[in-house]
Amino acid sequence: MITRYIIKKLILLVPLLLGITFVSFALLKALPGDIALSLAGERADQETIESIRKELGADKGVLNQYAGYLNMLAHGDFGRSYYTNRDVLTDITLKFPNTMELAFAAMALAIPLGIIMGYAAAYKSGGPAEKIIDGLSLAGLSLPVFWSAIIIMIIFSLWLRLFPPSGTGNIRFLILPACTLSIPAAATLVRVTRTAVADVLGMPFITTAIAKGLPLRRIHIHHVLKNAIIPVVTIIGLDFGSYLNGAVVTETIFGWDGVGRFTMEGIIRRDYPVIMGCIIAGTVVFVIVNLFIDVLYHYLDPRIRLHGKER
Amino acid sequence: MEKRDNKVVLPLFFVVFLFVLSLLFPLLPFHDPDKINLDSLSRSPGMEHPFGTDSKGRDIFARVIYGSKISIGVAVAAAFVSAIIGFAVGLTAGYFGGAFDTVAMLIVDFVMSFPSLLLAIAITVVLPPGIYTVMIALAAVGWTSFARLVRGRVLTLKDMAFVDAARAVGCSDIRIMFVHLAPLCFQLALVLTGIKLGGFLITEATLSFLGLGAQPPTATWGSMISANRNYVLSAPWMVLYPGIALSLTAFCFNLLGESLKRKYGLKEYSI
Amino acid sequence: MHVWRKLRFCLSIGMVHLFCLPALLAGCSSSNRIDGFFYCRLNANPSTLDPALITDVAGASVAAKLFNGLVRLNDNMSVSPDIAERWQISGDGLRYIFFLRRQVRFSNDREVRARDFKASFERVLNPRTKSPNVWIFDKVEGAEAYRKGLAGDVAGFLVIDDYTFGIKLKSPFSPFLSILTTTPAYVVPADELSRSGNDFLTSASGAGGTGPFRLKSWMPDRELVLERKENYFDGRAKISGIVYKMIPEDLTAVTEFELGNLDVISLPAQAYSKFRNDKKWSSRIISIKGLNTYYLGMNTSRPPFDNVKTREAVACAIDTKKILRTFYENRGRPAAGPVPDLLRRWEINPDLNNIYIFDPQKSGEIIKSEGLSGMRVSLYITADQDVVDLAEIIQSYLSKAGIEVVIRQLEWNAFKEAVNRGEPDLFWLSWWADYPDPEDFLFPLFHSSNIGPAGNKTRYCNKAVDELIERGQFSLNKRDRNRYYKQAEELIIKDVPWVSFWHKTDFLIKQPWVKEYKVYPIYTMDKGTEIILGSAKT
Repeated sequence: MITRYIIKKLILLVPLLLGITFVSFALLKALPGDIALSLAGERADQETIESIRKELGADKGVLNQYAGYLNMLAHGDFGRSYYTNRDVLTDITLKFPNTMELAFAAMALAIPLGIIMGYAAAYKSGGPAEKIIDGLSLAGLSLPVFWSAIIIMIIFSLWLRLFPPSGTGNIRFLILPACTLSIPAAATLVRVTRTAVADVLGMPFITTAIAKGLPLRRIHIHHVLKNAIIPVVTIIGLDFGSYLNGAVVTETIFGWDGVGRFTMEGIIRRDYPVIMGCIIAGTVVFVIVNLFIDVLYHYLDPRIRLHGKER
Repeated sequence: MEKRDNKVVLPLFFVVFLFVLSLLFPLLPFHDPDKINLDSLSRSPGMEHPFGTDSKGRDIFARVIYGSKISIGVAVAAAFVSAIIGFAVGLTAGYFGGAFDTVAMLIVDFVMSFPSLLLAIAITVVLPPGIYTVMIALAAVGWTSFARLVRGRVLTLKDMAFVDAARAVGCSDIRIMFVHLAPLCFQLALVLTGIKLGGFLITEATLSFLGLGAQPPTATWGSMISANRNYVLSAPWMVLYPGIALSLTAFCFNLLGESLKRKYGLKEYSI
Repeated sequence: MHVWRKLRFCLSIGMVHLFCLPALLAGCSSSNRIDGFFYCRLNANPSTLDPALITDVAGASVAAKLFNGLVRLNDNMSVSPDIAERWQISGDGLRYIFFLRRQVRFSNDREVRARDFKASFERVLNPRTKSPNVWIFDKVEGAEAYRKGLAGDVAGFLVIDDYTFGIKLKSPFSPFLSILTTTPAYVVPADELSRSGNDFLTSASGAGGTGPFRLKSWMPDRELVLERKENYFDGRAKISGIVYKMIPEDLTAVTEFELGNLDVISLPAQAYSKFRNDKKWSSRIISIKGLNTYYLGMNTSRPPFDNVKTREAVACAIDTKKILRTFYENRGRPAAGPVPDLLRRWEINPDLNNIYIFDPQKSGEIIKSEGLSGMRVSLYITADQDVVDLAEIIQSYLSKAGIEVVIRQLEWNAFKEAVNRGEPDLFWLSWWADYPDPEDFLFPLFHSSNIGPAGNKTRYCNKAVDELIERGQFSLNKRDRNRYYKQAEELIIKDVPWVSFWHKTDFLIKQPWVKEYKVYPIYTMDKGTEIILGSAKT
């Protein structure tokens, strides 16, 4: 069952990727001038522009051009940066691991914090703890990442001198941007966990378990957490996009050499091959992560695992 | 009951107050938000300028108030446009089903497979910069949740008895959709709008921060923070007040959405 | 209850760890600095380190530390020996002969010979190199034939013997010696390059120049590291190496400086007053009067600015002195004309000194009398925040005169292309000296043959000015030259194709432990050899 599901999802990946590349292609075509110029940049020499034009089949119809573009992408040619004239895909593959490192660090901070606080809020429902956590999580959602990044850098780097303000490398450089990035994600997780746990806590089978005299710890972990975790896992996946979104500004302000900062520099310089390349790369990763979460979700939900039905 | 109502009323009041203030701006005794005054550059907050002035001598208090017009206006407008588009798509997809529904949901899935900001960036980078482009981008990214939600509700409703009855009486499909089913989905859409307002506000601010939104000299909170971020060490008030305004308004929107959600029983993770 | 207690326990353990972490890392807010290395900042990744291809200041300033040329500029900004220890110029100004030093070596220890110069210079002209800097040699005899493929080499580059190199020009050109101090005129190991491709220059293993430093490592967008060469012919550098950190954000750069991770930075405008007013730092600020002019250019090729009266109105509408004093915090000198004050070896006619003094009323009247009230013009600018701020100030002044300005921000390359095409009505630009000769501020910017990408972006065309500039270029007598240039500049000031705002002064700030650091008006002068770092900071 589960393998059939995975295969089905993988097959669906193909039209999705096609669609993403088509959007990128359409946007590149929408730019003034011809698409070969948009991919090579006006500073490129005539030879490069001509060879791109030939690859794209710029003299043939739009569909042919799209096929040519796909061909280019398949060969790993995302164009060259207008500004540095370096191959875009090379730079993206160099920088992507850094962004992933940042995203995972932020997740490592957000997930435990979010789940624990959300759980506490649901368990202590009605008390002051719940109100405080509720308020904090709402505040976390209301903070724009670019502002919190600036404030965090000033407080923790300049005033308290705890961490370096910028740079890429080991954990010292990672902590501040990871904390900044984790705030909105943690806030979302707190709220989702709280709702999910509160739901499960209210269910009759929990009351039964307590009445049966099962040890509380067993109830919490085996019954509450296990059931509540399902929607939480889904949200972790859906929210993964927020890491990619937030990375654009966070990496720039903290000087973390990842795809987010690369995107920002591309935007400032209107370096379209870079912008499109980053968007495609980011989206592909997002899709893969979602796929993984999707499969995980179906694995965790015993109703599906056992009966092979979708919810 | 009382408490929950407060949570809706207070934030709503704050935001509306701010917006109306910005609209009434020309009539009020505030400084001109666009007026450059080279003699009072980078003043710290004081009597004359409660929030200080920026690097060109413009009063920040005035710009924060005036800027709320665009920031709030764009967020609300984008929310309504997404709601309308998503509502229409969800309604028709859910009702007619079949191939149309499959295609529509495929498109929804497709749009949702992009990280929202990246898609918004892709759109704003290609179109001429400005607030209308931002609105288009926000709407293009935001309509999908409405579509999904409304479609889900319509799916539940369309098998009910009253729909069969309407059909038996000879109501056309259009009539059934718009007169019978649609009103039952309004509440849902309204709640979702409330929930998404905060996100739209922050996305608009982020796009403005990246330079993709309103162009100078137009003031929006995002562009104010971006333009003055290098002054944060020497003149923090230039970044502090727009940031506070932005966070506070987003907080109010979120609070609003929260209360609406709780009032109408939508679960956190069903969207 | 039970679980909650457990959770609370876990939480508190976690909190304790979280609080310990800062203590563990507290001393580490400074990066691991390499002893004896000088740390500074680059705004952006240099696009290349190949002297033939460099067009950005970042690349050029790094290249200055990696390469040498025939001549260089000394502290008095006059041409002095580099690899050429002396030279002769013929009476007619057409023939130059350079006598090279011995024992000047590339990074691979091969000695520099005259034919290396011929090969390096021809490489710049070679169409296959696609160098944008071809203009520096276009006065050399045989250059055009070579570029067109009609000749196998450039007749004007002569290898007289191993250590004697000659250049013959088509016509006398007084700034030529100064031009030889610029970046494209550096000598590169051309033989090795043609064999192993261009990477030889920039790969960490190759980096073949003769300069005081060699390239140790280059992580694009992160940092670039140079290390000292022990056998540099002009005396080895006093620091072991230089680390350039790539920091595009000003805020981050200032923070890094305050934390001690950078030794010197150029003070961004926004941080200037902060450091100036801080007693601890104000004594550490050093300044250098730049050889540049910042101006508001007007497109003279079409209405409304083809009419000199409209241009006069614009000039009178803007209080440039006040802007310099308040907004720009006096970080420059008021510009009386396009030639920088430090290069101007003549006195401008006092009548012209304040010909277009700030007079908003007069400006409004001119606009009204021309029937142009309420006209809309476009102002193109680059996307830097400082420029945007300035543009809004200009917009505000011009609106008072009845001119409505629409600001358009473009990224740098798009901006250059648009201005070169003559798209905008107004644009904000600056011109920085490549070599310290007033001719550099007249010929490229105002001669009618240079309309467009070569430098004359206002599309200014005045035969009288053309002739005066050419006469100045030809004359070998300094007094005559200055006389022609003075007349040319005065005509230009009267014609007002652009409003000269100021000559920017660069402000830098250095850490207390930087014992010796000199700032230079032109980036090619800074070879990094005299920087001294004191003992480690406290």
